[in-house]
Amino acid sequence: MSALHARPATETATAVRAGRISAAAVVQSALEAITAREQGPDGLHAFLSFDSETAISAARAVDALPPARRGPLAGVPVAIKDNLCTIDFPTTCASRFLARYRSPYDATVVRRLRAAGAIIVGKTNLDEFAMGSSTENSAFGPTRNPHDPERVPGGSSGGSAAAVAAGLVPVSLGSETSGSVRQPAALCGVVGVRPTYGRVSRYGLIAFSSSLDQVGPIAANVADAALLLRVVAGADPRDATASERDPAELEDTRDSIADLVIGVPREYFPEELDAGVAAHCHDALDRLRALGAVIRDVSLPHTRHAIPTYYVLAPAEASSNLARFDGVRFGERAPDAASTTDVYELSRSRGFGAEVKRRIMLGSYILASGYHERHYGRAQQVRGLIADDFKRAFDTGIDVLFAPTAPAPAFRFGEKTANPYEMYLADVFVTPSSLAALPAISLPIGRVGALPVGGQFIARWWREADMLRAARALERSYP
Amino acid sequence: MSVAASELEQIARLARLRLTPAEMARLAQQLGDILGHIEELLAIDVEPDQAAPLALEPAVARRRDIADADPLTRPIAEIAPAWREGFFTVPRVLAP
Repeated sequence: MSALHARPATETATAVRAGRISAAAVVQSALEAITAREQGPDGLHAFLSFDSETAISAARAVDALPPARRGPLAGVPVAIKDNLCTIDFPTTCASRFLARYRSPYDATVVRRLRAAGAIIVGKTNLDEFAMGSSTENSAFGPTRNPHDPERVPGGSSGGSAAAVAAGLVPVSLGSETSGSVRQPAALCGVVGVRPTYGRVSRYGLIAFSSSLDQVGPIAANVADAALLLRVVAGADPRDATASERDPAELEDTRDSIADLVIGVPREYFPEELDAGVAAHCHDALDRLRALGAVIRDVSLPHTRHAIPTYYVLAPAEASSNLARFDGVRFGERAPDAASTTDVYELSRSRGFGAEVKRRIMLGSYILASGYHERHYGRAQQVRGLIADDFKRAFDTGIDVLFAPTAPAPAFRFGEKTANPYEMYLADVFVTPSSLAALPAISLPIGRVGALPVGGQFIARWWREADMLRAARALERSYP
Repeated sequence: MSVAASELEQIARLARLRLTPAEMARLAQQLGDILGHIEELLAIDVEPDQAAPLALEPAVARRRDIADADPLTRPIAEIAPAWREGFFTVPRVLAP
């Protein structure tokens, strides 16, 4: 029997609500596992902070409630990406700039998790300000991939994915600007969801690129990811972009996928695709066909323009969003500053790491006079073409698309750090749907050696229920 | 594509970053490389009226204009690094 904390979240919550196990015992078990796995030079380093006293006391509060009020996530230990604000843990964004920052409020998603009975056990590692695909950009050191300590867990939500993959928590929250939940989920062999833009509130998520940022769940199985999504989704008066659509529409308990038409975009299967990844994707398509789904080839012709489009729009938004980190409003202030300009420049130059500076410089360059007119407007138009590709495919009767999540399994530390653009290409299959604001889910579909491979379903806007149903069916088809 | 040193210096000033000569040299090469990839967007055939990329909702949901409870879970004075008579106190950044 698996350790108390490593059981599926749905099982744990049911058992805690029924009084068969205590939330405190579950959380204690998780904290012992975290402590054991994080320690020493070979530690996983999935967490930037965790706190037994806070977590156990929150668990006891759940145990003290009458069973009917214990909530859908009663006693479930959850890890939170460290760019989501929490009142009882530091919120560092994996940046030296925010090393001592304590948020005065909880992010809406964190508040909803607590209200559902979940226990926040700690905050997880990420690429600084969520900028990266490997967690190598964390100011506090990278996270290791639980399947091979010499390799990256993906990113930017690498800590959240590794914590679930190592069995330290059953579920976690990450965030995506462009694939930062799905790509680490694929590289770590767990499930990761990007909701439709607007499905989940971003209040309390430290902004990177506001037209793209979304909070998404990571879990060991599809049912747990769906449960977490239902809990955090829904309207929020504190985030004007959070949709008022009813989260109940996320529910679809049907098992059969015989009515689903699944599109396979040919641009996601280029010659350079890792042979093992391609083989597992074709095997998954065979399984879906055997389950009764109709498989159909489609073309999304503007796919190859997604990465350059993203690297115009996202850095432009980031350079503006990160202006608030100036040593006055937010961030460590340079103690030796002699003038106002010194305060800003010295604080920012010492506080930000190399990748964050690179993106701020790129964004500032793109927004500067001359370049803005030529490139920013064009990138917005190409973003429209990319979204149109998806719309046209869905309009032909396709319900969900299936494709690899990442072009290859987890890469080695340092393998892509010398060339930033090569690192950006790790997100080549997750960026187009991010730009198009579509929902998607990555799930494990096999292994190449010890390394997991992820496949993703991309659904129509607001039709997460379709992709969750397809993912559940595919997941069940594996032994 | 190459980025001139003078352009980079101007951008760093606008971005409020004070960069070392080594950082500037590295960024000149890396930004040039990234901008080179971005140039491909100019060659794409785009209809002149294709402007707004996405329209997911008819309108952004606006919250009702009613007074709400303070979202802060602790009094603000407790959070402030330094506090006096109802104000945050911060080091002087403007010359007296």
